[in-house]
Amino acid sequence: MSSSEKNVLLSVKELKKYYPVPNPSLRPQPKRFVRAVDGVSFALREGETLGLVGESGCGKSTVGRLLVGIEQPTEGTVEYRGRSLADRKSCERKHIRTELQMIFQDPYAALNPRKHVYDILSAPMLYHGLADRSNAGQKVDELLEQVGLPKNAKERYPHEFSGGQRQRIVIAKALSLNPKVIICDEPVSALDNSIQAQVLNLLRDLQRERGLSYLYIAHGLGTVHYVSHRVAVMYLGRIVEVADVEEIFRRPLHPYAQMLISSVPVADPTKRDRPVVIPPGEVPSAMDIPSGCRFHDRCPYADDRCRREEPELRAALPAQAEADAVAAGQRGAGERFAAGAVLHETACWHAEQIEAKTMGQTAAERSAEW
Amino acid sequence: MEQKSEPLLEVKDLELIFSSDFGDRTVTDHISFHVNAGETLGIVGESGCGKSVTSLAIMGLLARNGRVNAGSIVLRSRRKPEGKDLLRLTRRELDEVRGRDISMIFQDALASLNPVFSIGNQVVEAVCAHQTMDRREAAARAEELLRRVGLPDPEAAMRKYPFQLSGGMRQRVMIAMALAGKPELLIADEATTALDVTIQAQIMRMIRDIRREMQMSMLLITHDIGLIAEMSDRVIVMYAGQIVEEADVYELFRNPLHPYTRLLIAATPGMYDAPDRKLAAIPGTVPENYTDIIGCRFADRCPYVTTECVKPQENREFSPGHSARCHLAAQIPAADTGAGAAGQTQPTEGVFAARASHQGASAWRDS
Repeated sequence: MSSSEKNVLLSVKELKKYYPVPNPSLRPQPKRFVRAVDGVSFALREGETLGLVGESGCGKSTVGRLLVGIEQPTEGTVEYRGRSLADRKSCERKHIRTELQMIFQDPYAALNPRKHVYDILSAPMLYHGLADRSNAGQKVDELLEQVGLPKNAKERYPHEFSGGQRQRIVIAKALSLNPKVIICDEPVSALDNSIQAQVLNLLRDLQRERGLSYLYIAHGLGTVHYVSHRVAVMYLGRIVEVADVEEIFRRPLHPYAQMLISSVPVADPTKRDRPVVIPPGEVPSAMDIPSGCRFHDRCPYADDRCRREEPELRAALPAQAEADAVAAGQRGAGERFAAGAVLHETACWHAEQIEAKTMGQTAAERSAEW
Repeated sequence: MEQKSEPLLEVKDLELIFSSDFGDRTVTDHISFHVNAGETLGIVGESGCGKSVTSLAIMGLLARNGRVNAGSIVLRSRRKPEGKDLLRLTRRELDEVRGRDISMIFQDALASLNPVFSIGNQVVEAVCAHQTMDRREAAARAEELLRRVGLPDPEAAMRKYPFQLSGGMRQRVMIAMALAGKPELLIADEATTALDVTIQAQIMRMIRDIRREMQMSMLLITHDIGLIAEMSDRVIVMYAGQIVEEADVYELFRNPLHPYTRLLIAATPGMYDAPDRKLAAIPGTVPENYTDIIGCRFADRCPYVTTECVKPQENREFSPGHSARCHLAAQIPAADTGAGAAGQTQPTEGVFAARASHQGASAWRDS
C-alpha cells in the first residue's frame, strides 16, 4: 500500500455536493437538497486511469466538475499532491489548474466557434506563460501533430472539422498546459463507433507517452474496460464498488455492479442466452435517497440490516474457491490477494454471501464468457 | 407461416433523394431488403448512413424535401396477403397501414408525445384509431397495454402528463401506443439509445417477450452492434447510403465479409476483451458527398484497398443468405477480422504490465 500511496496525485475524501431545491410555494418549507454527490472518496495515482461508471444522474459528472473546480464541494476535500485545493493560495491554484485539465462530452460546445484553432490552442499557453508570441506557433504545431491533425488545421475554424477531429482539438487544448491529470467526461459518447476507437487509442497512446493520469467518466462499459486500470461504480451519489478492471468485470460483487454489468449488450450473438440480471424499477430521486443501503429497494438480496445501516466501502474477501485453495495450502493460491496485487472494495453487507449463493450460476456464466 | 417464401415486407431498389438549395442528393442508393414474418431484422450503421430515412420512407414520413425516386415497398399483411406497394397508397390508405400493420417507435419519446394531453388520453386515442369501441372499453384496453409494457401503477399513470414521467417510462408509453393497433411489424429506430443500459435491457427484454407473444416482426435500427447481436435474427450493415453486407446474425459475427463490417466489429470495445486488445481504428471519416463516388464508398478508409475498388461494386452472395458488396470479400482470410477476434479470450493477470506494453500494430495492419 505504501508504495502506491506515494504515487497518489489526486485524492478525494468524503466529497459531497448538495444542490438546494428552490421552493416553488410562498409558504416557507424545510430546505430540500439534491444530493448529487454524497460522500465519495478515491485516489488517482500517477499514470493510472480510473474509470468512473454509473447511470445518468448518479453524480459521476459532478465529481469530475468538483475536481477541476467548476463546482465547489459542499463538504469534503480534493487533495492534489497531498494538499487540499481549498487551502492553497489563489496563485498556487492557478498553477494547479494547468495540471488538472478536462475533456468534455460535446466537442461542438467546447470550442469557441468564432476563433481559429490556433487561437483556441495558444490562448491557454499564453495566459499561463508557457509560451510567448514567438514560439506559440511552433507549440501549436507540435500539439496538432500529437493528436494527429494536419498543420494547416490551425488556420481553420472548429465548424470545418468533423466530430472526431473536434474532439482531437479539445484533447490538444487540454494537453497544451502539460497537465498531469485529465478528467475525461464521456469523451467518446458523442462520436460514431469507428471514430470512438481512434480517440480511445489516442488517449491511450498519450498516456503512455506523457505518463498522464485519467479520470475516465463514462456510461459505456466497453470503452471503460478498454482504457481503465481501475473502475469505480457509482450509484446515487456514492461509490458502491471499486476494483481493478479485470477483477470488477470478472467478479462484480455489489448487486448493483453485477446488474449494471450484465445489462450491457455483448457484441456476440452466441452469448445472448447468458443469464442476465436486470435491476427492477428505476433509480430513485437524488432528493429522496432511501435509508440504509441506497440500493436496497431494488436489491433482491436486501434484508433488515440493508434497510437500516448504510454500508461503507470495505475490502472484499477473496472468492470462495480462492479461499478454499489457501486453506488447503495449495501452492500459489491466494497470492493475488495476499500481495495486495488485486484491489477490490465493495459497499455491500452481503457481497460474499450473495456470491457464494449464486456461485453455480455465475460460474457457468463465467466459463461461457471467458 | 404458410407463405414462407413471401416476406412480410419487401423493399426493392429504394432510391431516396433529398433536395436542398445546393441541389439534389441521393441518400440511399437502390436499397433492397426484406423482413420475414416473425423475425427481427437489424439495420446497423453510423450516423448519416441512411438507416433512419429508410425506415421513415417505409412509414411515409419523409420530410418535405425528401422523395422516393425509384423502387417499391411491398407489404404483405394478414389483411392483404397479396401485398400492396406502400409508395402507391393514398393518404387515407396509408393511415390504415400506419399503426395497424406497421408501427414505429423513435429515439426521443418526449418529442413524440403531446405535452398538453394526459398519457391516458393519448393511449386511448391510439387504441381508438383503428378500432371502434366506446370510451370505457378503450380506457380499459389502454390500461392493459400500459400494464403490459411494465408501467408501474398504470391507473395513476393514465392521469399523468409526459413531463411527469422518466425517459424510460415515456418510452414504455410510446411502445404501448405502438402496440395499440396490434401491428405485424414494429420499427424501432434507436428506440433505447437515449436510455441507461439497465433501462435499455428492461425495455429490450419486454419487447422481445411481446414480439413472441404477438408474433410480431421487428425492424431494429441502431448504431450499437451489441444491441444488434442481442436482438436480431438477420442483420443488414449500411455504409454511406448502401447496404454493404447482409447475413444471419450468427454468421455475421462469426464470419464478417465486408472490410467495413470487420473493422466495425474490431473497433468496438467489449467488457470481456483481453486486456492487451488494441482496437482497430478505422482511419478517416465517412465521405460527405458519397453519391459522387462511383466505386466502393469505403475504399478510402479500407486497409485492403486495390485498384479494382474504383469500379462500381455489386452485392454478391457468398453463401446462402450472406452477401457483401466487396470484390475482395472472399479473398481476405476469414480469421482476419481485425484486432478484435484474436484477443477475445483469456483474461491475463498483470493487467498493468499488459496495458503498459500494448503494441501499436493491430492484426490486420501486419498482414
